[in-house]
This record gives sequence, structure tokens and C-alpha cells, in this order.
Amino acid sequence: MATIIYLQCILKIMIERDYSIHIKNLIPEYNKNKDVNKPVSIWKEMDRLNGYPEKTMVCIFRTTGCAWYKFSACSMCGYFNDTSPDIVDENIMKQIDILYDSLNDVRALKIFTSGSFLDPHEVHPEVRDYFFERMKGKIDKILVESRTEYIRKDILDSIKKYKIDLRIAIGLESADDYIMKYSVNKGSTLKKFIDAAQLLKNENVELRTYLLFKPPFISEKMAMDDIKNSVKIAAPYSADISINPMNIQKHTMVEKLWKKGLYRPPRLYSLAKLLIDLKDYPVLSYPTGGNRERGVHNDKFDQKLLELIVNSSLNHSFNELEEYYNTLDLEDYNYEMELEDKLFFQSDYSLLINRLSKSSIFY
Amino acid sequence: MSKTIDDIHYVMGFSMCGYYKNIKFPLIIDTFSDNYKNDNKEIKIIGNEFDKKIYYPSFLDGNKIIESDDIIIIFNGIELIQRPRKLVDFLVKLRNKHGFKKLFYLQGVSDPYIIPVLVYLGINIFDDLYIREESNKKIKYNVAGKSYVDYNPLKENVDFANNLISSLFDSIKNNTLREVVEKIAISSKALELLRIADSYYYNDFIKYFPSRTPYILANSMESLNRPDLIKYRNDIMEYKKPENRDIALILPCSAKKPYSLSKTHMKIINEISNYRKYLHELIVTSPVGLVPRELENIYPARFYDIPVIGIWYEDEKIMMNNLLKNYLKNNYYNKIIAYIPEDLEFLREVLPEDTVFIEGKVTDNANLEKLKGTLKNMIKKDFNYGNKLYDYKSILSFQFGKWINKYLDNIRIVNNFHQDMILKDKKILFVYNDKIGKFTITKQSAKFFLENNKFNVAIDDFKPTSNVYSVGVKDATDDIKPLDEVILTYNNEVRGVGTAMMPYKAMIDLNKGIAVKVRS
Repeated sequence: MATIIYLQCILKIMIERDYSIHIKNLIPEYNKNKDVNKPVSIWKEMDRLNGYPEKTMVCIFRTTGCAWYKFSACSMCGYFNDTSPDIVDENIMKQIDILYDSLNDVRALKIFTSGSFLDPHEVHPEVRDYFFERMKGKIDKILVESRTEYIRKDILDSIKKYKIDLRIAIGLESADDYIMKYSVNKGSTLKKFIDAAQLLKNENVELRTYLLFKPPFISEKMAMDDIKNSVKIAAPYSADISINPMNIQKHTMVEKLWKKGLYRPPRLYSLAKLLIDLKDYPVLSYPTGGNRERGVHNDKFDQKLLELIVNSSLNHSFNELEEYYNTLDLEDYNYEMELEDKLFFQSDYSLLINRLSKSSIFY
Repeated sequence: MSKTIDDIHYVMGFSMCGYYKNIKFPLIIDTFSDNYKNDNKEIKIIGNEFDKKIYYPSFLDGNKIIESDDIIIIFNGIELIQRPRKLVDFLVKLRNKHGFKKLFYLQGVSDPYIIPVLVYLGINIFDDLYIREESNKKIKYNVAGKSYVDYNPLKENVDFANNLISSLFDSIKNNTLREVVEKIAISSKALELLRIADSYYYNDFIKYFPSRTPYILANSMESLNRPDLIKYRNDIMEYKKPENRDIALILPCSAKKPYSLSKTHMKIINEISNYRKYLHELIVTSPVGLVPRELENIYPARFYDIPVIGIWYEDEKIMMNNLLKNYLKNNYYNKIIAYIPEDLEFLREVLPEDTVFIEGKVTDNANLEKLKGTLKNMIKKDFNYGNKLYDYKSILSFQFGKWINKYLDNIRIVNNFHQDMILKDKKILFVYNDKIGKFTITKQSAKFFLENNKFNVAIDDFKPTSNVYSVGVKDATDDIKPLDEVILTYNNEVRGVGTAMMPYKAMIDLNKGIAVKVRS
């Protein structure tokens, strides 16, 4: 009983109750027709888990999902769409087998679940062991994701015995607890991140830190400041820091805002500027949904800028990106950013103005 | 005499104009000036500090304003205005809750073609962010609407908007704001907001709307639903005709006001002069609807103009018929004669079957003969007939309310210096100003108002001489609208009479501006 009250107190500090409930209500009923024996998705992409660009296998396992969904969800996260309540150990093991059969010569692997791979309730220890057992010898480097709660010495020890080089990714999102609580609804704090990051450092496990670029309700300029601040705080603990510009996922708070014209994903210009300004830190960004309306994009389409962002992230060399950026005409963009930052209520201001403006005679 | 510029303060309906910290409002804040600050640490608007935090949209949070001592910020203006019904509802509730104590700042919406209606709905402060965005898109404003140009016309656009704001200041001061709001019809959104306010929030707006304005130019359908016209028509439905005028004569209106001075009416009046004392003349018209002859000098009957083309719109026909029908429910006539041109033929729908219709050109001699003949046959010597005193009783009752009737026994009329006065026991109770169709209260009649707690402004302990400022007002009865005749009292003792210059709520809430002009 005392534990429950203690937990409730902790939660009160970390979450805005009404906001959390609203987000929770957006989560749809699970789709039970999904094939529980197949991963959500498997593909190959380039990444630099070993410090240089190489082909990396990515696999998303379908699980029962993030423990946080039982209470709420993060405002941008729609991964609950890829979960199923019916999943049992055998299902995940079958998914692991399918992954195993697809590996071929790839030696680096990124594992995503729609939650935390290290959560013993989401991926039972037996299944986790089965996974590492199968990957042993096949794979040199594995990245898995986890909330800070499951970064525990006992869990790390149980993995270490497989002698596979491990990198753990944690979504810090922002080092600003206020933004975490009132915007992201992460149900976590900077202190929890640092405690987990310190443990990883002590245990010689690499950390990839995820930061969310442009959480809702704050201006893009403020979001850029937040990323810069967060990078500086997370850098001492991180092998690398992935700056993830907002990508609007289904059934999320951010999608609801976006549909009402109350959110605009960040501009590519801003992402480029961040990478350039932070080039002395181990930053990278592989934007999901780049140059699409649900992802990072400018008002004017710019494919080259997106390609340069990805390539310079892969090579950790931002000179070419900087050269290109310096040739751009940014006057309108800068002015727009300045105006947006003057508002203390955030929306897709330009879009909403357009709608309103059209009600007047244009001659 | 106003002491400082900040004492200048006028209220019209939901709207206010004046000076705040030496800055004239309504106001468009320059967001690149010292009056506007929003950085990582604080929000500061014209010296007012506000919490720097995340502000949620309306669907997430019931708390939709930020408050300081003097200013209320509606931060999600750009969200609210996407649903005009919601915005109007929000602003009405805000005014009802906060009265006139604070200035309302609507963030992010300053489309110059929507500003007038937003001012009408109670907004006092805007910012220039919207104008900056549009200017950056090379959109230029002028009287005809918006157009694209090949440069950033920010300065011209800001000047345009500020000139407009300045006109709104004057029109609030002069009680002509409603005209301006109706006539700037460039934006459909603006008209939507106005129509919503008129259609759904009449009861809220009429509380503060002036009891008279200089002139009504009913140039568009929106004019039909002005709060003061709706109030007039509602009052007419409840109106009791003067005693002894038991035959109704329905007549068309005239362009010239009062109607009885028009050529048409003069000709008719001249022909039927022998019978007029038996008649209750009822003029049917738009947008006022129905004007009994004795009310033709009052506001709004004498103070409107409307484009006339000999055809009425359906809305106008429905309005006139509805009004006449309801009026006739409360007033019985022995006989009704409709002496009307063909365009008023639609009145047949609501007039009793035995109504005598004489239709056609009303100045036509044959028609006039017909009317005269009808009257001659209809009217018998022993019929009751009316007089001016009965008419004045009806006007008094119309102006102040039916409660006044009990004080109107044994009164008489005296004409002094071309002004009719109502006397009782040699004491002057009311003076009639036929130029504006209004009775003024005297110290003698003031006690009636005190006894009934009507049109009563309670002031501090002083002797009012010229202007009573709102700072000196302690309380006011909720029947008081700008330009109503009122009494000034202290501790149930009449201290003076005068004309209200603000709605009751503003007198109570404000600490500046003239509340009552005293009549010496």
C-alpha cells in the first residue's frame, strides 16, 4: 500500500493528470487481427553503431507494448498501434526466428519493440535469453531501446554473458523536466535519465540518447534551444545523440493537434542548423517522414537538404551541409520563426491565418 | 473636466475606448516594441507581467485566459476564431464574468476586416503578428479588400489597421460603432461573428447597448437585427395604445422623418384631419416594423434610413407581419383600415378579416376620397376620441416602463417656451423634447424612480453639478443603458437628474470616464 502511495506521489510530480488522461483516451482498441508470429517490420538501413557507416538490420518486434501505455502515452508516440495484447513468449520467439533467417551477412542490428526491450514484463527474461542465444556469433553489435526503469545492473549482467557488443537507446526527449511533463508526457525526469546513463557508463555499456525535436506547445525557436541544452547535458554520457524531429503518428495527441492546425512539424532548415551548431557533439539525425507533411519539412520542398542531413549524420561530417545551408535564402524562414516565437500560444499559425484570411475579399 | 488623459473612457455595448497608461485603445500592439515581451523568462504586455509557461488549446484546458490586474489575455484567439460560435460564446461569457474591469487582449488575430466586429464583441487590444505574417506574404490591405503586391507592405498595412482602429475609437465615443461594424463587410467571417452575436446573444448585448444612437443606416440585412431595433420591436409588441383611439389606420412610411412632415403624410393628414382624433395611426415599415403615430419622434422611429426600391425582402415581410400580429394581440380596435400601397399587400396575412383595405397610390385623390368616405360612414358622433395627454401617457409608459402609469393620474400638459411639460399639482414632472422624442425627468418625478428603484444611479456623498465620473458611482440599476434618463441618489435621497453615458455595469466597474451628464 505504501508503495502505491509512493508511486502515486512520484507520478504526480512527473505528469499532468488531465493531459495524461486525454492522451490515454486517444489510444484505440487493439487490433486483434494482427499476425502475432511475425515482426511488425524488418529492413536494412545505414547506421554507424560501430563508429562508421555500415549496413544495419532493423527489426520491430510486436509485443504487448510499453508499460507506460497502461497509464498514458507520450504525446508523440503512436507505437501502440503495433502492439497486441495476445502476445505470448512463443510468438516473440517465432519473430526472433524470422529475424534470424533474414540476417544474411549483416553484423549490426537494431531491435525496436513498441516499448522497452529490457522490460521483463514486455519481453520475458527467457525470451530475452533466447534472443541473445540466437544472435550470439551472428551479430557483433546490437542496439536495443529501453525506458530508464529497466536499466538495472541485474538485467545488464544477464545480457553481458553473451559477449555481444551492446548499445542501449534511451528516449530522453528533453532535458527540461517541464517540457517532459507538460508537453511530452513522458512520465520521466532528467534525474532518472542521468541515473540510468551513469549506470551504463559504470558498466561500460554504450548509450544512444534520443531527443525529440519540437514537442508540442512550444515554438520552434524554443525547441531548438531545448535541443541544444539537452545535447550539452546528455553528451557526457552518450556514445551518440539522435535528434528525432517530430513525426506525426496516428492516434496521438500530436496528430490531434496537427489536424486542428495547432501543430506544425519542424522545418528542415532548423534541423540542419541544429546539426551544424552542434557538430562538435556526437549528434546525428535520420528523420522519419522527412519532407512529408507529417514529418520535418520546409514550406518549400528541398530534397537535397534532407539528403545532406542524413549523409552528414552517417559520416558525422557536417561541412557539406553547412556549405549548402549558407547558400540558402533564409530571410522569410527567420522572420517566420521570430513571429512564431512571439506568440505564447503555439499553432500552425501560418496555416490558420491562411484559413481566416480567405474569408476576405481578394481583388 | 477630466484630470488626465486616462480619464477619457467611453463605453458602447461591449466596446470600450480610452487611454490606458497614456496609450490609446482599442490598440494594436507593435510586437517589436517595448510594450510586448515574450522571452524564455517572462511575458510582459504594456507593463503587465504574466506567467511564462505552456498554454494548452481550448480542448485540453478549461482555463483559457491569462490575467493580470488590468489585462485579460485570450491567448488562443487564432484557435477560437476558427469556430466563430465558440469565440462569440467565449467573449460573451468573459464580459458577463469580468464586466468592464479589465482590458481584453486577443492574441494573434488582427485581420483589419475582422477587427471591427472583434471590437464590437469586446476586444480592446490586438497585436500585429497577423498583419506581419500577411505583409510578409505580400498581401496589402485597402478599402476594397486584400490584394497581392510585389513587396512587403508592412508599413502601409499597419497604417491602414491603425487608421481603422482610430475610426473605431471615434465610433465608440459617438455610439456609431454598430454602423461601422455592419458596413465593413469585406470578410464573411466578420459577418458570421456579427450574425451569431445578434441571433444568439441578443439578451447579453442589449444590456449594454445604448438606448439611442445618432442615426441608423439600415444598409444591409444585418441592420434588421441590431439589438436596439430588436428591443424596439419587442417593446412595440408589449405596447399599449393610447386610450380612446379605437380605429386603427395603417399607413406606409415615408423617407422624411418624422413621417408627419413628409409630403405624403401631410397630404393624407390634411384630408382626414376631422377624423384623426378617433384614429390610431400605425405606420408600417422596415427595419423598425411598426410605428404608432405618437411614437414617430422617438428613437429609433425618427432616426433611421433604409434603401427603398418598392419591394420588400422576405425577411422584412416576415418581421413586419410578425410584429403587427403580436401587437394586435395586445391592442383591440373596433375597426382597422389599411390604407396602403400594393407593396404592403402582404399584411393581409395577419390583419383581421373585416379589415377595410384601400390599396394603391396613397396620394391619389380618388384613393383619398375613398378613405374619407370610409371614415365618414364608419365614425359616429358618440365615438370615443383621443387627445395629446393620452398619447403622452403612452409615450411615458413606453420610455420608462408600465410601472410609471400609477403616477400619471390627474396630470396635465402645459406648453412653455415651445416645450410640452407634464404637470401635476402645479409641479413639473416631465419635459418633452419632441426633437428627440424623449421625456426628461425632473426633481419632482425623480422620487417615483427612487420609490421603484428604476434608472437609479447611486453616487458618493456629493452634490452633482456637471459630470459624474464613474469613480463616484457606487451602484446603478440594471435597466440603465447609455443615453437613458436617470436619477442620481445618495442614501435614498435624490441628488440630481441627468443622462447616462455608460451602461450600468460600466459605471459600477470603471474608475474613469463620465458616467452621467447632470441636468441642472
